[in-house]
Amino acid sequence: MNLKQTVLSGVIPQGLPIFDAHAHVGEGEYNAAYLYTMPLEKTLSLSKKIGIGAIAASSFKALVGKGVEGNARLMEFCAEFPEQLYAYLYYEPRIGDALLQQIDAFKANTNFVGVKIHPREAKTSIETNAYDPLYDYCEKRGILILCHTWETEKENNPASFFRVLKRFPKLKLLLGHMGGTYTGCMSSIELSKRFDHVFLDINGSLYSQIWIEELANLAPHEKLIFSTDQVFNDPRIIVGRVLLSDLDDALKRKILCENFEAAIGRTLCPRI
Amino acid sequence: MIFKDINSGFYLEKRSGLYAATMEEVSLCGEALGIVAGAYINLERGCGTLRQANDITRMRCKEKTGRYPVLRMLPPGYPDEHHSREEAVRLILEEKALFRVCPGQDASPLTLWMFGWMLEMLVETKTPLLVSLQELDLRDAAEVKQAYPDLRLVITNTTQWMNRQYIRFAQHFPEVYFDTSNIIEYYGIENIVELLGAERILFGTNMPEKEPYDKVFQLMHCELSEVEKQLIAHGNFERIVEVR
Repeated sequence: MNLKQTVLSGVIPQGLPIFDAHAHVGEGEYNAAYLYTMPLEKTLSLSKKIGIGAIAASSFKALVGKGVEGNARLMEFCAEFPEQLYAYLYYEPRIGDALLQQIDAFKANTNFVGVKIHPREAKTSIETNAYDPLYDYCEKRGILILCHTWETEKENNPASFFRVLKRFPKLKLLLGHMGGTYTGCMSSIELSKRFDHVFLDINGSLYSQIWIEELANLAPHEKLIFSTDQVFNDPRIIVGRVLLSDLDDALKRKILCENFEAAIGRTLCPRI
Repeated sequence: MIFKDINSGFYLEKRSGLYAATMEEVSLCGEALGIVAGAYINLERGCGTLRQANDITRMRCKEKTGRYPVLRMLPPGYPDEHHSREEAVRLILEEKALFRVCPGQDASPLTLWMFGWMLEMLVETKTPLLVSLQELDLRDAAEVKQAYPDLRLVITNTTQWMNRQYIRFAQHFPEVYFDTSNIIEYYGIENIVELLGAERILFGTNMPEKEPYDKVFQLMHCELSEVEKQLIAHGNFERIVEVR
């Protein structure tokens, strides 16, 4: 049986590494819409139940303005769940110096996988030069930046990265949600084709009117990265989107884990 | 597990980005996942008048059992833009037709003064009226529900950014249903069932605008009882679409 048939029979495939490359954790700090909040242990338990071996998350607290405290709390969480939780430390230009120092202090930590930026929440567009100190720091060290992108939000239209990447061509970048819309997805795919270190986060592209099979026809396969956006969104959504699709099993394995581990350069997801 | 899809559609030709677009493609893709019946709307905008577009839907649905036509409903202003009351009742009785309003796309807000007798007719025949939350002003819908509390309103394509509004709306008014197509919130399906009951949720995919895979997997692996899962997957569809 292939993966689709196995899942349709009600079984989550054992030994299939799944790494969630874009998640959020916190203690109820985000409330622009109602978000169901539960202890991190239970969040990780739901992930495990549906086959996700480990997740890389940023902090809600950091996202809402408490960058240093949020990042510190996230690293405490990672220490508590070292095999299942990895950290993106948050950066925003408003308190850039303090956050960059914090990133530097944690960069050698095994659970650190990269930096998260959310230009809309930070109210600072990627069109500006405000993120340059971070880009410069990360490009020199090969550190991945996960950026929230959505084509209709002026602060983080993925197309704005064409100009950034002219200045920082070796920047390792994961385009969160692939820009969200059809146009955003197309810009993201173009970036991933033009720049070696630009990767595509497939959550969010669910709303782009591009089915995943068509996405695989359009984008470089090695650039497609699995993620869920939990605990904003239900992780079962994107797990199902990949596992029940008509993509072949080898590509599903690449998307679900292998591509991200190759991008980071090490094994992250526990193997059974 | 079998599924019956309240929120499905089709185009007349293949479309870029959509792995399945035509009625046959959508239907086959669904069948491979256990979707055995569906309510289909014609999404093609360039295929004639409303009546011609609805006739295509009806014709395609007659080709196979388990397909129910969702007819676009425009207000009874221009005589050639709407079905007469007698005709609409006949389509409901003979073909188990459902109706959908598109307040945004059709510039026709869902209000009493816009749709008049059509709402009364839907109540009398217990026919579901579908509408996307992304096109709906819930203040308009509240006026309609105050006048017609028994109107079966199926709100599709919900958005988590309006979850406080739509949950309160359904807590306040009876006969309000949601489809699963955009319930993406964390533990969203479990939460909504806890607040409203499984009887108020219908399995919906929003094919072909998006894939159905996420919705099938979500329902298979959600933390609800078997009875609740079966209601959402197909039981509620059978009650409000097939039996009425």
